[in-house]
Amino acid sequence: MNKSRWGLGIIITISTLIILGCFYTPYDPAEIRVSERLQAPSKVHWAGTDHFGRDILSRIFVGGRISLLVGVAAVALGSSVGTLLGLWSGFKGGIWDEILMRFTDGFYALPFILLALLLATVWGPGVPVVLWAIAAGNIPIFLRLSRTQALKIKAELYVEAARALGASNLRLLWAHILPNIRSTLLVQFSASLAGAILVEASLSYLGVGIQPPQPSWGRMLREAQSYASLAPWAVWAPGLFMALTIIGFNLVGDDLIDKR
Amino acid sequence: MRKIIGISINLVLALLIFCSPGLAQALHIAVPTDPDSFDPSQTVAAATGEIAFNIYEGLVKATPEGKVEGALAAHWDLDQSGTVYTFYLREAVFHDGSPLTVFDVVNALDRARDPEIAVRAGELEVIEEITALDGAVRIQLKEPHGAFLYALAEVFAVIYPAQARDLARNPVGTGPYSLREWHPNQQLVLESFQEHWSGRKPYYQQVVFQIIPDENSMVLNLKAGRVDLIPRLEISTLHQVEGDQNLQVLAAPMNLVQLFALNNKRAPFDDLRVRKALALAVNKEEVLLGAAWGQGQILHSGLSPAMPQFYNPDLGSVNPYDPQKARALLREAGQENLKFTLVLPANYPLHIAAGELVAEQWKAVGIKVNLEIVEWGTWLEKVYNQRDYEVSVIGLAGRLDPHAILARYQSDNSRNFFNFANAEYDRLIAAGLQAAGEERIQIYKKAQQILAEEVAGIFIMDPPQLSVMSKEIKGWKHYPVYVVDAASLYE
Repeated sequence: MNKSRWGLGIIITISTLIILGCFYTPYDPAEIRVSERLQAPSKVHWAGTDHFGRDILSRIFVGGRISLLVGVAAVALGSSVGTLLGLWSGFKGGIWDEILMRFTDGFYALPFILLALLLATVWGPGVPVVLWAIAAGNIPIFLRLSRTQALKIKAELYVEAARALGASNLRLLWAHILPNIRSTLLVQFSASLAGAILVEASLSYLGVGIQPPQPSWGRMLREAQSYASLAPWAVWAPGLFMALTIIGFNLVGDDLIDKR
Repeated sequence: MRKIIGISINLVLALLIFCSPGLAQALHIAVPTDPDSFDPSQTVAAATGEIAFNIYEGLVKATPEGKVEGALAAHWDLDQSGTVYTFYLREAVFHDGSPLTVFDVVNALDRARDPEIAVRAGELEVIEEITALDGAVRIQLKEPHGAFLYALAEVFAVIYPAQARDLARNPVGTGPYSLREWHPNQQLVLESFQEHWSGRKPYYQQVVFQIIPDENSMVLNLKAGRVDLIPRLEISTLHQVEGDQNLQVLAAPMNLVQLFALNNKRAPFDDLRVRKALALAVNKEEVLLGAAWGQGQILHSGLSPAMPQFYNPDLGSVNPYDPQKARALLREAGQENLKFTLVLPANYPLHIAAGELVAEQWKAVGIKVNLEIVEWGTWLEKVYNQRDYEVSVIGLAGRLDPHAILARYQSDNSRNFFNFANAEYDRLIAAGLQAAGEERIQIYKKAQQILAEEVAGIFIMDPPQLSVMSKEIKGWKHYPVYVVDAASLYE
């Protein structure tokens, strides 16, 4: 209970700050003032300024929006496609189930990053690459998860009873199977979200993710690394926010597991 | 027992000696990009010339002072009319063991000036005819050409055996080093050539050019001792090496022209008012400070002060920073809602930083700029070869003679990827080759003025070349052209 409270607390706080950032940031996050660059955290700039004199805190809020939005959208996409396919596959069984599972195995072998690099060479780097790479990477995870659960629950007595009463396949899936695997999916969802934020950061850090001038947490880390020894705050400020967000999602996920 | 200990100590010692490869005989140099092609008729990237300088030689070669000296030609003479050069060849041997003949020279130079074969044939188009003599080569020019010898010192005019094939991957030259291995995007291993005509043998038997695209990894590798030398350090990483006791930083003007290339043929950049507005909206001081940490020289036209004789110092007032006037000009041209894509080459942090800064400055006058960072290969193909772009940032590597630098803005020049076209300018550049002395200087000063006034591009800065190496390395020679002279280095 406690864990989840902490986790939710962190997520809600950060989300509020980020949503607030849509309407108000202390400074224009894109505004360059070279004469004020690399200033240490102070009352004027709470998290200091970067190499172009931009306010780091403002950039964290705006960058977080991208990081979170891309993460949530990608995981939502990947999980819904994965879950639907998995449910159908587990429920129906047969040759299609077999084919789908072999595809999934193949997909598992392909790491996120590799897939993203592949997409980046085809489309050129940018938000779509990150979005589709994370979504595609999450499909097999949710597919497998929901398939095993569907297989298990399909054999339960109450499902047979419902079927005997004349319930259609769709009704069985919707009213009996899906609610029973909801908590498992939620756990995976929060873990995937934490992962997605990290993947977005890694990709932007590698230069194939979010492109300048759009800030994102990973991008900020990349830009800060060359002057990390001069301005450590430019590294730890976005790093801290990223770490906190990921911890938040993991805490919630952990607690959901415990509750189950 | 003692015996066993003795043996193991010996073993460990043997291993230690074995594991330290070639003790000081191999030099590791870090460069950011892979060469494009070692075929002298195909290469366009400065990154190739940098390495090829050690492998190939021409009839003449560049010196650190910015002059030319004999290489494969021991000496030469020029007739009264100024159009017939006779080059007397040395006795030299190629890396493949075959001796240098006059036919190799004629073949290489004929190929280099054939527009069907060579991408930079335009640079040698002044040649009328090349004739093989006994131990010498006669080159007849169409007209006197003040910069001809400088052109012969470039990578496109080097000499290779007439029978050589697949030079792109397997270069064969007469230089102090030969290419032994090339692992694309990893490293190039050069081995010293024992039969160089000079009789001198380089100190380092092996020179390894390591391709490290990331500037921070480069510095980390240098500090860890895996790399001995970085010929061109990114300015943003300078502070990481400045305090280091084991390293030395040597700075010199790079003779590089960093500019925002505008596609002069594409609307709305074909409108001078738009180009001028873009130039007026750029605060170069801020770019210098933000992108180059305040180091370097601000430029106002296509020639760097690194060429003091020809540099025109009076152009600072042509396009001063004036965002108000920029807005007014945009309004006048009906381009208040101007929107375009700025293409940036991914492996040059200096250009990316400059692009980000200027994009923001343009935004301040109401222009929408979409940044697109592309791989170097894509950049060369799309921007440089196909000229399919709107605005881009690049550094134009220095040359020995102002003609070679300024000729690329001539309307029919193959390197004119700006699509700049100005009849007066074309005339001046042509006249510059016939002129000499003060007259020639004035011609190039006028040419620079046209580039600034017509805004062929937006000229930003000449960044300093920072060469960082371990303290033991001596003999570093700085050239006003884009090369690394590995043969002169020693410990």
